[in-house]
Formats: sequence, C-alpha cells, structure tokens
Amino acid sequence: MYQSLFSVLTRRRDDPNVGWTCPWRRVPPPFRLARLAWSVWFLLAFAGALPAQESFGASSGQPPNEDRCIYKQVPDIEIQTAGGAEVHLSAIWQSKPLLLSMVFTRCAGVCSPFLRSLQSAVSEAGGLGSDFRVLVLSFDPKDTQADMQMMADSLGVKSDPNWIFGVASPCDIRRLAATTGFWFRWDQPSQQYDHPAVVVTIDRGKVVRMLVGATVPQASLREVVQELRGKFVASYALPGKVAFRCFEYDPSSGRYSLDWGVLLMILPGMLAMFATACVFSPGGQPTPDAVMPLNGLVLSNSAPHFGERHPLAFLTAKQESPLRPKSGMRIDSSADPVAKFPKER
Amino acid sequence: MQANSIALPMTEPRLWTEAEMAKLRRWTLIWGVTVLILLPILASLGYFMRMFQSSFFPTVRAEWFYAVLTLHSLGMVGTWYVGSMAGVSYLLSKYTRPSLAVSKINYWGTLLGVVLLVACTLGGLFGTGWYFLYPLPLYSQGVWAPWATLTFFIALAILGVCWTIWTLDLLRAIAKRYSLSAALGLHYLVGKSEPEVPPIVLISTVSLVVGVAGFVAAVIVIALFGARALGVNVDPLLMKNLTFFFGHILVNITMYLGVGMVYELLPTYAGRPWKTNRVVAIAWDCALFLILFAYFHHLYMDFAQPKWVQIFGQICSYFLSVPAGVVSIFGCLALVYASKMKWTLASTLLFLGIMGWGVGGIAAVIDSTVEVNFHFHNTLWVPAHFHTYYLMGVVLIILGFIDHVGKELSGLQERPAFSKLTVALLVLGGYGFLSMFYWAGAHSVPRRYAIYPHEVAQGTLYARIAFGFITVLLCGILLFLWETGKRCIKAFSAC
Amino acid sequence: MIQMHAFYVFLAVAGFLVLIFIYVALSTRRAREINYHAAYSLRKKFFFVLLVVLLFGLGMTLGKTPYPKANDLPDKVVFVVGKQFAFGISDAPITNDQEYEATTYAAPVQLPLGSLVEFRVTSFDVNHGFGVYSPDGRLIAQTQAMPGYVNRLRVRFTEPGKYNVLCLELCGMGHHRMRGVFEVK
Repeated sequence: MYQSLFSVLTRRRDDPNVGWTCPWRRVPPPFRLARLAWSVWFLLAFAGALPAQESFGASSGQPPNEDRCIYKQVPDIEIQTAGGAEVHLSAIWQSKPLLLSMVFTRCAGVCSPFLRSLQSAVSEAGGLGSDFRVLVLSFDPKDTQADMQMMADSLGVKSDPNWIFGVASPCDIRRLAATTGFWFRWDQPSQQYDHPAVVVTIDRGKVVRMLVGATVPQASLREVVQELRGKFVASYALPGKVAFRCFEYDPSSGRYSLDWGVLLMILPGMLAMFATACVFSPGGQPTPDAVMPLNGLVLSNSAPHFGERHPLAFLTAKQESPLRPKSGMRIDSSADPVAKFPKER
Repeated sequence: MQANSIALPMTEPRLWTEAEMAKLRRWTLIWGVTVLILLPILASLGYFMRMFQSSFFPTVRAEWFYAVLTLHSLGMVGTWYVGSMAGVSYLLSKYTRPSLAVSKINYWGTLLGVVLLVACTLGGLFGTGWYFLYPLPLYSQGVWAPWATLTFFIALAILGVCWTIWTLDLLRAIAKRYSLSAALGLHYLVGKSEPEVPPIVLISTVSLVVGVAGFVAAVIVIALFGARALGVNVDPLLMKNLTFFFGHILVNITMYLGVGMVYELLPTYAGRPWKTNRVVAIAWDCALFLILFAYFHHLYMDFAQPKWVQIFGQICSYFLSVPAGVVSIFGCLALVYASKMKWTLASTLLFLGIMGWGVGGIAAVIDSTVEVNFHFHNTLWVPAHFHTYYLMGVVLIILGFIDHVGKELSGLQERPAFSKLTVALLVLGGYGFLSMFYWAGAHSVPRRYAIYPHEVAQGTLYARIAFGFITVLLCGILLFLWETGKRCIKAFSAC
Repeated sequence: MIQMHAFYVFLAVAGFLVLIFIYVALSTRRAREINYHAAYSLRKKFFFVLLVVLLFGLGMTLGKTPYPKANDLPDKVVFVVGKQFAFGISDAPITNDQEYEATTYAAPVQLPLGSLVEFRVTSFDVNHGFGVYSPDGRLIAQTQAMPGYVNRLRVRFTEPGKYNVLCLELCGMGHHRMRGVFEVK
C-alpha cells in the first residue's frame, strides 16, 4: 500500500499533463533530502502520527444547504477528464447545465450506491444530453484519471459522452467544495473519507439547485430537470401538515394532485347552482298568473308626481287617481276589489 | 305593450292587498331611515380615519384607527348591501311577492349584527380590517381580546345567515313568477321576447344567485377559522381565495342591485322605457359568469397562485367592463339623451350614481392589469376605486331611491335650490375626497396606514386636503338627510 | 413611472366619460325623439372599439407580469421574513425566531448595483406585504409574505441608495410602523 501510494505521488509529480498549482506539492526532484524528508513524513502519516489525507469543510458534519449556496458563481477550475483531456469547467457548463457530484473511487460506503441511484434517476427523468450532462469529480487527491475511467466503466457509462468523469487539483477541489458547501473528512479508523452525498446543479456558471442525500429521489431530479428546461415556480410551499391545500405535491410521481381545497373552492358555486335549482323548481311550473306582463298597473309605486301624468299613463285603460298627499297610497282602482290574494301570514 | 291588452279582466288577482302594501311601504321607509341614520355615523368614522392620517390626533393610539377602520368598512359594506336589498325588494314588489317577514327578520338581525360589531371594534379594539384575512384575527398581539374575535365571528355569522335567507327569499319570490330560464332572460337569447322579463328581475336573479355562492364561501371561511381554533392547520392561500371570493362578490352584487334599481326607476323619470332585450340578457348572463372569476385580481401579488389563474383573472376583469359599459352605462345614457328628463334630486342622484360606477370601473380595470397592480396593490389607489364605486356610485343610487320613495309616499315636494346645493356639495366633496385617494395611490402611499412614515410623508398632506373635501361632503350628506329624512318620516306616518 | 402613466390614462378616460355624461344631461334641455337605429349602431361601434382597446391592453400587458421569468438567472438571493412588526432581511436563510430577531437589527444587506436579486419572502405569523420602495419613495416592487409559502420576487436594481421596505398588508396595530431596509451600492 505504501508503495502504491508513494508511486501515485511520484507519478503525479512526474506526469507532464498534471499542472501543479499548489506550492506545497512542488518538490524539486534533484533534492534527495527533500525527497527523503517527504518519505519520512509519509511514513509517519501512515502510522497515524500526522493526518495523512486532507480534510476540508465543515467539521460539524452538517449536510450542505442549498439556500446558502444558491446562485453562487462556481469557480472555473481545470478538470482532467478520465478520457485524458484537460478542460475548463466553464467549457463544460457553457453548452449545457451540469449535474455535479463529488466522490472518491475507494469509497466503501455511499459513493457507489449514490452514483447508481443518480444514474437510474437520470435515465428515469430523461433529458440527459439534451438538457444537461453529468460531471463526476473525485475529491481524493490520490484518485487518477485511470481510476475515474474504471469507475465510469463499473457504472457502464464509459462510452457515454454525457457522463464526464475527472479529477482536479486539490486546491481546485477545495475551491469547488467551498462554493457548494461540500466537505470531506478523513476518518483514520476506517481509512475512509466521511462526506455528504450531493448533486449540485450548475446552470450558466451558477449553482441553481442542490440535492442532498445518498439516494437521489427520481421526483426531485425530475423537478431539477424541469427547472433546467425553463419551467419555473414563482412560489413554493414550506413543508408542514396543512389541511385543505388546493394542490398537493406527490414526491413519488412528481406530479401535483388535486386536494380538498379545490373542492372547497368549487363548493360555493355548486351550492349556489343547487340552491337556485331548488328554489326555481319546487316540483312544477310557475303558477299561471306568472305570465302576467307589465303588472305595473297593480301598484304604481314608481310614478313620479310632479303635477303631471305618469309617462306611461297612455297605456292604462283607466285614469289613475291623482295622489292624495295625506294618504300616500296609490292603488289601481280598476282592479276587482273582490279578487284578493290571501293575507300574508 | 299594446294598449288593448292592458285592460285587466275583473278576476285578475292583485299581488298585494292594501294592508300588505302599506306594511311594505312602512318597512321600506324604516330601512331607508335606518340607512340614513347609519350613513352619517359611519361616514364620520371615515372622517375620523382621514383626520387620524392627517396627524390630527397624535396622542390617540393607533389601535383606535384600526378598530375604527374595521367598523367603518364592514359597516359600510353591510349598510349598502341591505340598502340595495331593501330597494330591490321594494321595486320587485311590482312583479313578485318578496316576504315581508324575511325583511323584518333581516332588519333585526342586521341591527343585532351591527351592535355586536360596534361592541367588538369600539369596545374590544378588534382591528383586522373588513376582510379579516386569516390568520390575523388570531394574532392580536394583545390588542383585542379573544372575546372580541369571537363576537366578531358571531356578528358575521348572524349577518351571513340573515342575508343568505333574504337572498334565497328574493329568489323564491322571483321563482314564483318566472321560471329560471325566463328569469335569466335565456329566451331573449334565441330571439323570443315573451314572457317579458323586467330588467330588474334579470339583474336581481343574476346578482342573487352569485350572492348565494359568496355567502357559502363566507360560511366555509368561518368554519375553517373554527377548525383552526380547534388546532387544525389551515392553508392560508385557500383562506385568502375564499375570503376574497366572498368579499368581491358581496360588494359587486351590492353595486349590481343598485344598477338594477336604476334600470327600474330611471325610465319613469326619463319618460322612455328600458326593457330587457337580447343584448341586455346576453350582457347580464355573461356578467354572471365573469364575476365569479374576476376575484382573482385580488391575489395577483400572491405568487403562490398558478400563473394561468392570474392571467384568467385579468381577462375576466377586463371583459367584465363590456356588459357594464356597452349595455348598462350606454343604455342609461341613451335613455336620458334628449329625453323629457325630470331632473329631481332622486333622478339626478341615480344618473350620477351610474357615472360614478363608470369612473370607478375605469380605475378598477386599470388596477386589474397585473403589471399595474404590481405598483398599485394595497396603495391608496384601491380605496380610491372602491370608494368611487360605493360613495359616488351605489350610495348615490340608494340615496336617490330613498328620496324617490320618500317623495312618492309623502307627497312633499322638494325645494329645487336645496336639491341643487345638495348635489353640488355631494359631488364636489365626494370627487374631491376621491381625487386625493387617487393622487396618493399614484404616489405610492400605502393604504390602511394609521399614520404615514417619512418615506411616504406626502400621504399626510393628501389626507389633510381630503379632510377638507370630506367636510364639504358631510355638509351635503347632512343637507340631504334633513330634507329627505323629513319626507320619509312624513311618508311613514302617512302609510 | 408606471403609476403616473396609469393615473393619466385614468384621468383621460374618466374625464371623457364625465364629459359625455354632462353632454347627455345638457341634451335634455332640448327634448326630442331619438333615432333608435342610430343609437344601436353607435352602441355597436362602441362595443367594437371597447373590445379592441381591451384586447390591445391585454396584449400589451399580459406579457409583462412581475412573476419571475424562467430564463433569468439571479445574481444573488436575499431571504426575507415578515413578522409582527418588522422585516428580517438577510443573505443567509432565516429559519427560526432567533435568526429573525438578529436580522432585524443587523446591518442592512448590501446588494450590488445592476444585479438581479431574488427575494425569497415568507412570513412567520400573518400575511404581510413586502413592498420595496426606491430611495426617492416610489413603490417599485412588491409581493405578499404569506405564512407557509415562500414567494420568489426578482428585481433588478439600477439605482444606488437606501431602499426601504414597507408593509403592504394589514397585519395589526403596528402595520404602519413595520419596515425593513437594504442598500444597493
């Protein structure tokens, strides 16, 4: 193990394709003493006297929070892809949005299941290639491009141009992690990195969504893809049990379903129609005298009296009696006084 | 109608006996006088509010402003609603038999509701504004006690139950004489003109059917408040939808019933008929549908509403102006144009009421544009437009109706000089007061502010100018009350 | 200055309506029979003109709603919580009452000039109205702060200065005192 780790280190240093940007890694080859010191340090680190692997980020172990990272500009770092190319991150996100996740190849824990879950969610949601691409980076300084190529192969996406695997310098990885709230911590007893599982959505260079969790729910990824396609939600409900919403979001299907609230909104109109129907048809036709037109002659409560006749007076058969100021009652005297309606109860 | 069919056969039954007619008239006058008493009281509350906003009462706590706001707004909404209902009830008595008992129950129920409202606002400092938006009644910050909230909801329940019964009763009365399709004028749509349906029957049917829906929504809102009190978490967006659905409908049907009264009364002053025909029927049937969905314009700033709902709301609100403008307002103008119009106080007020409705409608359509609403929502533009609808619209119409009835039943003539002065004071004071609202709204002054902070300090100046105009308006109101009140009381004793 | 434009449109149209009413009222001095056919044809013309005006209005304005556009990508997100009676405005999410209290007396959030800012607005108690007032006192943007929902309001700030936030939904006795502030530099 020591041999392979050391060889990894030396191989990285000698590899002309790798551009070292971090000064503390730059050990001039001719200085044997330095190399010896380096080996001693490494032995001690392996023995546990010094922290061997770097850690970065929040030591509290809190998962990254989308709210704290949203719309932050992602640093334009250099990626060494598994295929051997060297490319800037901006070149990748320029053409299409990116789903970025950070893993390491020797992970015995969450990384593989996480990537598999991401892969199945991506194939379910659709849009790979047309709406977005996936970038998987290793945050482990020991991972090489070949390692990433093997990881791609194990997932079965080695030849898929929309799945990009790669590595970057530890400095760049740290810059990227800082933007996204990603952290990783070397756990000595298990010889593993402890880290969260995150999918960061990058659109036009900015973080737009983050999905945190070892399993990538299909519904969540579908939401992300919808947003990338341009469907935007101007408002969202906070989680919590609330009775009678109009629409309820079902995470498993990713769809909005009607809830009781819609029924309550329709109810007033429905009840009004029902009440109207009840009132207007008590089992039969309206009473025969309903077809009496222009019944205004029975009551002349709308006649102005300015010493003139009612403007419609020419329609009446008989003259209406003039207003008696004292009584104030105007009754059509032409009607039969015998035929009266029953008294109001 | 042809003259020869008017001679009624001797066995034709009359709708009302003389005694019943007398009772109906007395009750209409009681309603009228009650409205005339409530008007200056509630208007004075508004006067107090504008004075408060003018910083005339620096030592009075702001809680008083919000309590008075709640009483003034709910009181006015209620007063003009019952005024419209009483007026329409009376005018419909020519064609149908609305129940007098229901009218009486409503009278006492409304009075009880008003008393309870006064108790919880002036007594308990309940200050949520008239549409009591959930969950504000439950978050008083110690200003109003739980008994005030409970009293408020009891008052609403009493008023709601009474008014729903009245609405259903008027529908029942119409149903006794007209089938549903006749009452909605559907036969006019296919070209038939028999049976003849007076416009007021058509308009009342449309308004009252919609009114039932509004009241059902209010019941649901109150029930959900109750559920919340029992610990069930209710969706605030649903409550907002239901609350504005109810409120929007209530104030709209008050306006439409008032317009119906103009359809019925103005022809007698103009000497020309105003009858239902195909165009009138189409207009009001369209309005029935559009009113139900226009309420979305109250929720434009709730981004949680689906976008299609907001667009639909703007479209419905825009198109609601078509039946109003092309049929009712144009019809009113055509009725009066070059006619032998008798310009009395009543007819002038009816005519001006329609004009106010038009002006308020223009402001409303402008505000119902989402892009404009983004800058006008909950500024003083909103009270500007609905005060135009109410104060210079339906209030003038109802005052005109009360004056008409008072004059008709008392026989007392009006004094033209007084009438002209009354109208001038009302119009000058009213539109002046409104202009300050519009101007303030255009200058971003928010509504429902007890006092104006320095960012919108211009609001205080506008409130002071409005105070001057309200003084003029109140003089006009008092003059009207004096003259018309006298006539109504005289008519009452004569009935 | 959309408010003043709307006001002038209102003044023009309402003024025109009032003039028509005055004209009709004055016409009753010379009473005569009216030509119903002419009246109906005038009404038809009015109907078409009104329809055209309304459709024009709809066409001009329906595309310019204040709801965030899907293609915009904001430069910054600001979190806003409304609670009786102050607005908590912060760069970081506000998740509980303590954080809210802290933001109400913290230094104002600084926003870069020309940036597109997304405000995520919610409330911890009742409905409030998040009303953004420019340094010269104009209401430039608003959205409702509703409990249980987060509304996303996007505004591009082109004027530097101190922006005040006033509450635009009656929320109790302190409604007129409720405010927030942020700065654009």
